[in-house]
Amino acid sequence: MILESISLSLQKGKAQDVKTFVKEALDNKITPKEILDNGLIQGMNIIGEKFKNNEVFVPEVLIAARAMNAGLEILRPVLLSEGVKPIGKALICTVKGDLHDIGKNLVKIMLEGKGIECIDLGVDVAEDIIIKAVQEHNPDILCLSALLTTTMNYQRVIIEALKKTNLRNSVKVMVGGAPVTEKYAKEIGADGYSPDAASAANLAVQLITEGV
Amino acid sequence: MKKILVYQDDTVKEIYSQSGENLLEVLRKQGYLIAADCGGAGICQKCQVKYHGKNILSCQTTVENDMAIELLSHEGKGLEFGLDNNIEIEVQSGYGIALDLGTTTIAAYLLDLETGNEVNRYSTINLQASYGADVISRIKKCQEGYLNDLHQIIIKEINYIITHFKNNNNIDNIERLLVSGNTIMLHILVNVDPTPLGIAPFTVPFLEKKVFLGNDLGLNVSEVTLLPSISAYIGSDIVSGMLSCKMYEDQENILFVDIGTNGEIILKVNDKYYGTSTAAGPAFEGARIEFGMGGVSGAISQVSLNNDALELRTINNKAPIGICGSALVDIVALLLETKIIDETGLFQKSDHPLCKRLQDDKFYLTERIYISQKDIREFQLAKSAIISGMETLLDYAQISIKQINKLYIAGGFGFYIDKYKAGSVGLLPKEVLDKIIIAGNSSGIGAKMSLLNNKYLEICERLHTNVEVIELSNNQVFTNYFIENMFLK
Repeated sequence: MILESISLSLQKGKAQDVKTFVKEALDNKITPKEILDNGLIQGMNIIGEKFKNNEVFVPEVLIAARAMNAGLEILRPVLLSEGVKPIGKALICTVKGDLHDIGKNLVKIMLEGKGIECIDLGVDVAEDIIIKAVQEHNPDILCLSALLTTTMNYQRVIIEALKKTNLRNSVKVMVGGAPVTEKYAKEIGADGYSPDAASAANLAVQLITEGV
Repeated sequence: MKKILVYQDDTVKEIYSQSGENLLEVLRKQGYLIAADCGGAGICQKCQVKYHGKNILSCQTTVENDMAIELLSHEGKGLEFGLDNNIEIEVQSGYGIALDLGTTTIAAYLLDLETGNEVNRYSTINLQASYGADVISRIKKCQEGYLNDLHQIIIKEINYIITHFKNNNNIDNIERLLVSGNTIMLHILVNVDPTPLGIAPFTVPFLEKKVFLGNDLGLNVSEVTLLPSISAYIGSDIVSGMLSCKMYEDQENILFVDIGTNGEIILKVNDKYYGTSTAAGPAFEGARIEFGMGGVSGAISQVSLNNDALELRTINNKAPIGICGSALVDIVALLLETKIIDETGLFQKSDHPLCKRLQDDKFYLTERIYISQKDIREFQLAKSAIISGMETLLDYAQISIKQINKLYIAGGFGFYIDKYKAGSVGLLPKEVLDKIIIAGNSSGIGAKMSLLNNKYLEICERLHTNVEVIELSNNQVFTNYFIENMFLK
């Protein structure tokens, strides 16, 4: 089945094949939403699970993402014209004082792999930029990454800033990064914690559907 | 007050704590050295003690009742080794100590300042380790207000070494102490808060050489000298290493790599110096590897294949208790060679007889000690960081690896590493394996040189401001190499 072929080529990171199969699927009158959900997202889900189990590693996730984006390039205009929307919107960044971005980029890939629109604020991001972005974009989720024990306290600072500006209840906050733990996340009042990019994507979907 | 009976090897001691105190804190205060690589966050599993026959995490345990615990024993001695080279001595009177103040291990050398001879040496584990294995955890502790505690620990430990040298060698006074170490270690030594180093843009309170009266620091010597550092994450131990291999008078293209806690790399091309820090260390020093450990007695240091049978060698030939960095390289190389893992690092069924040791995604080295799929992934991350750091510097300097004439490997790791195995898994560049020189404890050697002759100290001062530092986080060139180099090839 063509959707199966899309999923398999995506998992293998074969961007050209994904493009070919997506075009073929559209020609065969399969709806863009079905191609997205049961072809592309399906493939990324499998990669996500395998990544969680260490069966595939960072490079495989990145090349699968590249293949997904190749497919999305073809699909996006059609999705737009049919009014298909992403299932939710997320803002993601690495907090102030921290320059690490590889983990954040992986989370972004996995969120997009679930059909969530993801706006990346970059690294070393201060609270005023985040507050402004939350006000401007009105996201469902705010993802905060901190890779050092010395910078993770800023996640707490952001949550406090959201409270002060009366934005806390308008967005779900997820935290992550090597030194971050479930216990710490609870302590600072985050809505969720995940130990890896794939779990983060699953949690994000959960938080979005709960919030509806 | 609650009573705690602490069983260790053949001894038992009674200690007390308040109800509600954290068990790891209590043990630390009593002077027990308990590893806590993650700084007490409950992640690394290294702070385990036995309670009622079960292993519990002391960092997650609150003392509520009287209890009896058993400490899992680890011998705390570091390693002693090093290469000596010909150096010019400036005659001084008395004795001096050259101290290599490592994050994990301290190595001290007692020198006769008149003859330049090494009289005695001593090495031991840095007792700050119970506050966290790596520099970031120590900075974090300072952030939390423990700077003075960490400072007192190291002052006490160094004074112990000074007394030990005096007693062992029948001397009354030691004139000088010269210290080489990473930037964070030096800051804590002189009780200066290293907190700014933990947060971008990583501003450093001081980088220059420092001289103190021993009294001002509470150390039992007349004068204390601290070697200068290059940046927040490239310390005086690297400057000392550059000195030790006489890079300053060598016209060739040189790479210098310290495969340790911080993975620092220096590149010298056409009289220009470039430097970076890859922070790949934790895997090579044991943290985040299930059975990982530093180079202590009983650590498996080498693994090889002898006619399809596994051969293990341990440090001091003691019974194996874990795996240290060099053995990790050996194991991954071996698994790759026997096709028990593929190039992506994934375990797979192989025809090789050794494959029977693969059970449940774990490869067993002994009945108890194994390496897991997750351990292999950690190794891939660590080795990729190191080689990618090298490639990023080479890229920046616009020079190919083939043009490198010498590759110095510093740090304890270098002493046990098999360079061909390191090449086969992509930790070291294959093109220059035959150009490798094991620099041994280059930080210690450079410290000795600087202690014995002021001209070497001056060279350090010239070098430390002369290195262009390349930041790797958020660096696209590095990131691309980093992803590519995760494969084992």
